[in-house]
Amino acid sequence: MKKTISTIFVSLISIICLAQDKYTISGYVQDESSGENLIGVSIYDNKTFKGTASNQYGFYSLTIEEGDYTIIYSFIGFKSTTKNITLNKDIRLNISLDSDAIITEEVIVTGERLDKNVSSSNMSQAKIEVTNIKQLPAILGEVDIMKAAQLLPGIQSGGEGNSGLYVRGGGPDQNLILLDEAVVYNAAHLFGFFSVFNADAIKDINIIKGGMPAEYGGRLSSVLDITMKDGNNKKYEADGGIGLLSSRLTVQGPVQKNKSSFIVSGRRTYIDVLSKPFIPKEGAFSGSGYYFYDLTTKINYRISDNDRLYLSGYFGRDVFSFNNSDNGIGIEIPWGNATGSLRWNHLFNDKLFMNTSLIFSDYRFEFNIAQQDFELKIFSGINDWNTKVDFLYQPNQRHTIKFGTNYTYHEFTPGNASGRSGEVVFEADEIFKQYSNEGALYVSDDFEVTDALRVHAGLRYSSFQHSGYISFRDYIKNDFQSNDDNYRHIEPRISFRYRLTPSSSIKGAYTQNYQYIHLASTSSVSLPTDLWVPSSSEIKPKFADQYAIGYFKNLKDNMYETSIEGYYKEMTNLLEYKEGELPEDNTNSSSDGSFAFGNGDSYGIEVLLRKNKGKTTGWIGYTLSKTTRHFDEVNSGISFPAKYDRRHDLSITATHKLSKKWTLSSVFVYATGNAITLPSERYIIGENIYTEYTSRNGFRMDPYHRLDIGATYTPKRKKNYQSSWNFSIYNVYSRKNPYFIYLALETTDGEDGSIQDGNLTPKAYQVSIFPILPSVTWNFNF
Amino acid sequence: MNKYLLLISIILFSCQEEITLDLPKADDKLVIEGSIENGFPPYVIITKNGGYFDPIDSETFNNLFVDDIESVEIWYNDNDGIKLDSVILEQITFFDSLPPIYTDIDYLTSLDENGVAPSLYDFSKSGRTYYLEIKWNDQIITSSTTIPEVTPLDCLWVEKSENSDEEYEYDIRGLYSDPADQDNYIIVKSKRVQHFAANPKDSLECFTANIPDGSLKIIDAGSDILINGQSFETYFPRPKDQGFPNGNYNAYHTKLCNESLIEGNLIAGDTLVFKEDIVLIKYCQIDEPSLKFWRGLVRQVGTNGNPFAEPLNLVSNINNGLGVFTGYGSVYYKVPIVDGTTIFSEYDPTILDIF
Repeated sequence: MKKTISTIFVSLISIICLAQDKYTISGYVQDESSGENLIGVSIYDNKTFKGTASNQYGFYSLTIEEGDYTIIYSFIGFKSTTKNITLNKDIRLNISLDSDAIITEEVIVTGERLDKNVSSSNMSQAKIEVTNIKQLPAILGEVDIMKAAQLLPGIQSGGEGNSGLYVRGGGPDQNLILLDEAVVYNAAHLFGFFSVFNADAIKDINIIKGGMPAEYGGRLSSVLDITMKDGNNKKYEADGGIGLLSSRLTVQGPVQKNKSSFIVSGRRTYIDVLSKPFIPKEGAFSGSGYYFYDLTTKINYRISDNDRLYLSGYFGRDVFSFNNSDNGIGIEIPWGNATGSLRWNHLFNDKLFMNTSLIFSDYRFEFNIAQQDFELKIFSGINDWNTKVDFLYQPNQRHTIKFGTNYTYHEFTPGNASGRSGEVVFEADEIFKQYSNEGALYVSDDFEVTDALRVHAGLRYSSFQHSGYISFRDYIKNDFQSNDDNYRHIEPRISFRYRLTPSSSIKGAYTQNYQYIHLASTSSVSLPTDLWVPSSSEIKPKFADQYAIGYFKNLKDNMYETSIEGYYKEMTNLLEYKEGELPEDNTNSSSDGSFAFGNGDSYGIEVLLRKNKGKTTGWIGYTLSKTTRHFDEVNSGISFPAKYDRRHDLSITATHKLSKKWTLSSVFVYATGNAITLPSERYIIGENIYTEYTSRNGFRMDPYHRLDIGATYTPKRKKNYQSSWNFSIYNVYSRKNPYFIYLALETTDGEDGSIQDGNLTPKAYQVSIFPILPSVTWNFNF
Repeated sequence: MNKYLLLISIILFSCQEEITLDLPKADDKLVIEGSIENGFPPYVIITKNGGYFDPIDSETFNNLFVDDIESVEIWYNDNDGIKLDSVILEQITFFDSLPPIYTDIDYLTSLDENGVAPSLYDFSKSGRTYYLEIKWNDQIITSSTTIPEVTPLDCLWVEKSENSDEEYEYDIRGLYSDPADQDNYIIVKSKRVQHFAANPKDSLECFTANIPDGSLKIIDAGSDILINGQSFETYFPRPKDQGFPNGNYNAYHTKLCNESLIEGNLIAGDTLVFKEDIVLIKYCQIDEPSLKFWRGLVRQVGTNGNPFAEPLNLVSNINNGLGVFTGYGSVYYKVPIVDGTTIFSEYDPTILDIF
């Protein structure tokens, strides 16, 4: 390890020595009004178009030959800034971009570096602006970044209202969801209807669905890298909103002006409060209810120009309770995530940036049921301690080198139960836990080989060590030598861009990914009951190979971005419960024997047409794809379509700035129906009828389609505060989209039926959940 | 789980409509419900599967009966795996409306009028593994099961139900000591062998009558994974046709005959006497494959209609067919619902009690 780092340093120094006749301009880019660091700002020379972009912390570094330059700083939604610079020494230049200018002007000034779509070596990546998302119509007015992500080609939703992401044929556990670098294990509230992220506290969302750079790993399919706002370091500010389902409040401000700031953002639903009047106090269901809340907070401190500290945290809980006094059953189900990140940014010099993070992440689920004297508690969870060091080194304009290391200590609590019957308590002697160490080293270089060819080459070395069912301390003491459950792999990541004309390029990517932890699920969507389990001697790591190729073209002076990408992905060691196994079979013990292992593949074509400039903006995304699974022990060994196999997936979004006060928006989606399993036969045991399912996911529901419209009204700013009204209509033409299909035996005469009486009729019903739903949200800022 | 998911989807403005589905027809398969229990002859009920949307009326129900079975045999082996003793089961039809049962006819003919056998049925014993073979239409359907050792309850008693408003509603509770040195898979069934109801069907008179339950119903099936080696109190709610069992039992009580009890020729004011329920509890140890089937059967009701659950098939231990062949290591208790009753001793069942 030491040797690797010193080798890297030696080679870095040698590059620095070679670059003597060049100078570096570097610094941080921030929002003039709030002091927020801006991520992904394009910084380039207006003659040669040579340039760079600010990183996740707003830092940029550009090393170019001595000379006079006009450097342009441009960022979507902000007024571009131009600096005339004579570069004959290294320059530190912190820049503030002004967003106020935009609001008074009708036309958005400029986007990012105009041809970024064509010129970068990234492919299969997307950024969504939070301000954009907030203007789109939202179900019940709840702005949801995950649902906005589903509108991009290659990313699908699990079904009506579901906020889970299914990326290029991957399952919901194959997405690396990061909130300020902390892994969020279950990103859903209300059984998937809403994501855990409060858009008010979010600054930036970067989505990677292929060509995953080497700094990310541990998942097969995608990365959703979400950065929280830092907090306004110039003035105090409060934002909030009152909606039909929940209310939000965000407070931010300087702790020490221009040096340190904080942000606290909270959200709570009030379904429970609203529904209370409808549940009679004396009635059987009194005390039943549901709510969720989340709290996001962040503090940052600029120690010096070279050192910054960030401390951020998230805490969210869903609580579902169900009481039925008729039979004395009481159920309470709380679940949720907690994360914390402490990060230190350090600038060694103008070219070398470092971030060191200490991260905590926790997900837990509990199910408590009580009836009379009997109580049962089922609980599970995962808990991570993670430390990482990342370096960004930009020796000259042609190279952007990233390297770093990452170590995570996982503590799994896959499925435990305790109970009580009268005076007798049932408890395992010890809570069953599993412990693992996951580590990675990576290095990558984004290298401009020629003006036409740019290559991004990376290597990730990952390792996973399942240290068994004992604590880490005992493991070090007793079992350190045991290598049974150790895995080490090299994951190459490579992508390239070849520029055909100034406005078009072709790109390609090949990546290998290993995933060492697995979500064991008895359902088709991510539910709080799902268990995370580590790789072990029985459970091999998941593996994916992905190939992608694409053609990118911008039209009309970059007003329109277009791209077409094709991909092919192969996955091995996917995991499912064996038929007839239930998670409870492994209560308080290892579930390794319960799983069946199989393979999957997915291929498709994704088309995107996007308009970034003008009064009307938006995009059209279309995906044609096919995803299959093959498990020897499932579906009699016959390949079957994955649940989220979607032949056609179309999304159209549009936002139109009608006037200073009014913005209109709409979303249309169309998707092939979900593949579901239905019974083909039934039989009788005793007096009851049972069904037999033969073909896994062999049936298609009707296609899903829906149109939403929205409007945002922003009246003139009052002296002290600004408010806006957001009106949404979800499912304008009230399409009855299938949510699920169930089968029932019904009696012909309304009485209790039986087989012998011959008065049962088998029927099928399709349930749709969201008809046309208008909503209004009032937002304020002061 | 499905209950609250459904509850939520109802909260979320759901609407439903009937649809027509075109589901493929499956091949004909035999459906086996086989049982072998310590001290009683084995029996096997054989039916066929049907298409999901086949209509269900008396005629199609009878179509599920199978009348061309060639042979049904059950045997056990010695330690070397050589067949030691076997019995050929023969068809007997009790009612035309019920599927025929295959059992040991010789045993049935030896019973006296009270259903008592002259001697213990020695073929079925705890600790043995039994093999089943059915020949039908050039197909051979096989299975095997083990009768586990019996583990009785320490005692049972009758206690006023806590969650009932009626004075006469009681629960049956029990004390069970789980053996620490073995994996136990338990299935509990019950039926009321005496149960008084008012105004039996189609009657306009005001009277009560004994209408016992037709057959045993499952209270629950599960493993001792959480309770291994513990001694604890449990309770046996009255099973319902479907869903979570949560019923009570009735002690002796009286009611006045009134309009709510009958229509028509009232004799209002008469006192109706409801004798106490007498409940038969069948407490069984079964093997693991059987447990997976029966537990799945209890759950299948639970997963139907859950939009998120991957559908579960019942995990059959029948090769080349559906259903289950279960060895029961059973003990029986007869519990009259009389306040203060405590039962320590097992009840000696007759052949009629095992169904």
